[in-house]
Amino acid sequence: MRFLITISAVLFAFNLALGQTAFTLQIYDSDSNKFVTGAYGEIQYNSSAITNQFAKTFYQGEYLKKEIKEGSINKMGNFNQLGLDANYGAYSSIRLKSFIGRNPYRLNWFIGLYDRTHTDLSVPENLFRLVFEGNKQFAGESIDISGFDFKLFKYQQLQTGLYFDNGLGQKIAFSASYLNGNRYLSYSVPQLNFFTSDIGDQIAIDWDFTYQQTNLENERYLHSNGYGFSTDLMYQFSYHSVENSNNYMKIEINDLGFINWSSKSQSITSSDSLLYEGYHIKNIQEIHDSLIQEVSVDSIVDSHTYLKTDKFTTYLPARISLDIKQQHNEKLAINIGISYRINANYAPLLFVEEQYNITKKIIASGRLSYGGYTKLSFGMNIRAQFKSIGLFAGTNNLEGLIASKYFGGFSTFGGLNIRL
Amino acid sequence: MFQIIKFRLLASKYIAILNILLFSLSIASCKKRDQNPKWDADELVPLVKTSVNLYDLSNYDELNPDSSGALLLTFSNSLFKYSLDSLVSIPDTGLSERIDTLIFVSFAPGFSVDLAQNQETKLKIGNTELVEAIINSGSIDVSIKSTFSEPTIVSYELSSATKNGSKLLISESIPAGSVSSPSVISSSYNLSNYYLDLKGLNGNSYNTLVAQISAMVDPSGDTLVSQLNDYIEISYTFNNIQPKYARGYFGDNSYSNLGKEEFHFLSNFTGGDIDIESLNLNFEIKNGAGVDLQLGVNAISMSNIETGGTSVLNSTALANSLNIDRAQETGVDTPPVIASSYSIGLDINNSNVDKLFEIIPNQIDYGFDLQINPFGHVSSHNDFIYKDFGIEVLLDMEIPISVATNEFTLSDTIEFDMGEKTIDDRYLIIDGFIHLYAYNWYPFTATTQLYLLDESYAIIDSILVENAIVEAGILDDNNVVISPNRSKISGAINTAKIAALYNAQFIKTDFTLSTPDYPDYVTVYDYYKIDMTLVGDFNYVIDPNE
Repeated sequence: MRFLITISAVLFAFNLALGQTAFTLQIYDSDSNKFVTGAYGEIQYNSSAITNQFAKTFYQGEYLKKEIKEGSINKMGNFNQLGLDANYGAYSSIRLKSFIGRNPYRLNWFIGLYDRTHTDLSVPENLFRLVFEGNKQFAGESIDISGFDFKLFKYQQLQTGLYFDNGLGQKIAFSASYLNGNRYLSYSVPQLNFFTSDIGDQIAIDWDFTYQQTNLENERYLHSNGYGFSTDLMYQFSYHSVENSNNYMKIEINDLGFINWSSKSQSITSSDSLLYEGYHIKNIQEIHDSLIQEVSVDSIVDSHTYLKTDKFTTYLPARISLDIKQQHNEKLAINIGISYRINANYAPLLFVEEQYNITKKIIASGRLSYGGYTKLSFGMNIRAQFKSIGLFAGTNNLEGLIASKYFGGFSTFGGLNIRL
Repeated sequence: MFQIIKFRLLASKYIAILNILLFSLSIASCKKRDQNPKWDADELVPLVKTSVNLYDLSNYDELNPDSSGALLLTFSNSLFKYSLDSLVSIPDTGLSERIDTLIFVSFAPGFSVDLAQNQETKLKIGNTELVEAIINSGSIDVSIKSTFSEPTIVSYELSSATKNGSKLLISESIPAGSVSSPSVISSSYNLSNYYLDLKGLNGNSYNTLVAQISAMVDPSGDTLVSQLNDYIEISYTFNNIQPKYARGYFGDNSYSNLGKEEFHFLSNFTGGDIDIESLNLNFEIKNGAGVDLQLGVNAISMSNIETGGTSVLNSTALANSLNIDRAQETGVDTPPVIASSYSIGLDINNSNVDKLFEIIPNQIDYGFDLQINPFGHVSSHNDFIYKDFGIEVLLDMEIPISVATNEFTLSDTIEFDMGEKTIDDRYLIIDGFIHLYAYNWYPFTATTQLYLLDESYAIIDSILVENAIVEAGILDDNNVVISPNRSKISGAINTAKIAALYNAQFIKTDFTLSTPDYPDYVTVYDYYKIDMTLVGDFNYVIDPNE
């Protein structure tokens, strides 16, 4: 614990205003440069309950020992989230000289091309326990394990927009994006009840779920299974003086959009009840395979399952964030904020960052956050500018690296840019 | 008889559903594809649900309740049967006629000569003397050979055979031939439904056919000039003559019948004592033939070919030969005959028949002597027999299921396959229990065990705890079960047991049944049963892709 506190204190000495994700419009802020181009990527995995150790073991196809399962179960609440984002791409931003024609106003036109992946999961605790610990613990009970929800988006984004800085502390940015829908998969289970009789001679399940998936035969990289549009908006203003425009408040909306998936996509809706009492053998003297097939296994009490192959529309997990930055002195600044993702199993995320200018060219920051797909997390990142080349790298989840048995978070991001 | 049961123990649908809902299809979409995660979970899963009653165990459809609901086993089977072709058989008979010319002579076209006039032929039918018959099937095959230089027409008329008032007439034209190269023709004629009068020309004989044979120079041909050694020959054969009616004297033949019939009644019971309160056994002799019969019962015994136990039937009712009257003709086509019948009834009062069944037989051995016309030729050739009406001995059995049992053991062996043995060299079942829940309506206490057998049927392990008891149903004052008893029998599953389960090729089930106050009888009613549920209580390895 002392180690964690020490690490936290050190990290608070750093601040780099990259926020929860690098995929914001701020990346297009070219300062006084005429041309900026760069590339960056990020992968972020967070869960409120599923520990890194569990996720790693599961991902690698290894055996989930009892203590690994318990590590996750002990962290669980009624509903538990998991999110995964994997994004990368390249961009360019050009300063438009002709606009207004005088400093300090700046107007940049930017364009970016990105590959985006988003996974989002919500799982009830008892469902997780049922699957990974078995149903014996629920003998004699009927458990409500409704609420399972899973979404996977994969798409490519072509983004363009304008970034305006009036030089007096106000910045406005707008972008529009065309989206190439590559893959979509979702399960939504609004109702799922599971009953085990006290002696185990009956198992009953009733459920209501929807499953959607894009064309399985056309899911290779860059293949198109649909198209969509999205927009990003950003407004930032200085709340002190022009001279100290680093004190600002910013509100931003990202990924507000949709994808129309193609007509070859599939949707399954099912509302069924099932009673399972083992293989029913009518005549114990005449058992053979075909008879078992005939008389087993369970009685579908009420079956309504429909398969539809048709297009459908999904909305992106848009993010809205509010960010306030306060400069303490030349070396230190603090940044606090809140963000939320709609159309996602995402809790409001609160964060605070400390930025420390190690030198004029090297800036480090530390971060503490609570919420989102996880609970408490710590991060750090560093940015360096060497003449026209800038670099940045970091993580939002040091806790998952340090104590993978107890935390569910892993992230890394990084990039470079060239400023002319 | 063995049956196959494949237990895919915990690959049950509910786990499959959960996997579909959860990780196998969702998280799996972004996990490494070459390996599957695995984990173990404590599962409580129903495996098998079944209900056992005597309907199942007896292998018979003839187990039915009487008016009170008490079960009654009835069984009927034909021990042996003599039909028309057993008593009357007409052998294949071949005949031929030939005429030779010894001089040179000319015959004008249309000239005719008789080869045989009212020729009588005696059929050789043993000591059977038939005076008439109707042919059900059979044929006459005719072959004619000629060396004459002109075409000739040969006619064969069987005046003993008539159909719809017409005699059987065969007329064949044979082309010209020579001594060195005779002309030959062959043909076959169906004799079905011909009436045969076998009394001969004078009407007082038997087994006798009458025929005429003639030959004629083809009227449309030229004059026939015969040469030395010219001949014409006709051969005919009665083939496969099967009558559907016959009359005459059928002789005084004796028939000895040694036979056996296999039973499968309660064939799965393998030990212990059973006492049957009552039963009725009836031998019925049906005589549908117009002959007197005499039946002697040599020996009847029952045996269990698995245990080697044998019990011989003793009864005064079978001490003497039985005379059975001949059947009577009705004079109409349907039915043409009223059979006479004779029954021998056996029960526990006039025989030891109950002892025969208390060894749980699966085979009956019998010996009968049957003589026809034991009083000689007394019918003046009026013995008769019709197709579908013969002599038959039937066994009828009726056993009320009212018994007393002491450690009476029911065994059965079924093929067994646990399915996939391991994942990554680990058994799918790590440890746990199998629980058998039994709801017993029968007035028997039962001990039960499940034995695991290898390919040579040797016991390699057992599943349930030893001497566990399924309690008898609760009896009222009249020894009638008014409610079932629930019993739970468990067996621990450990590594050794799991290895044995996977190695087992067969499972043998033993039920040992005892009535509560042996040797008092209890009656089994149609609603009695044992409802059983087998529940697995396992720590089980789960692979989402399995």
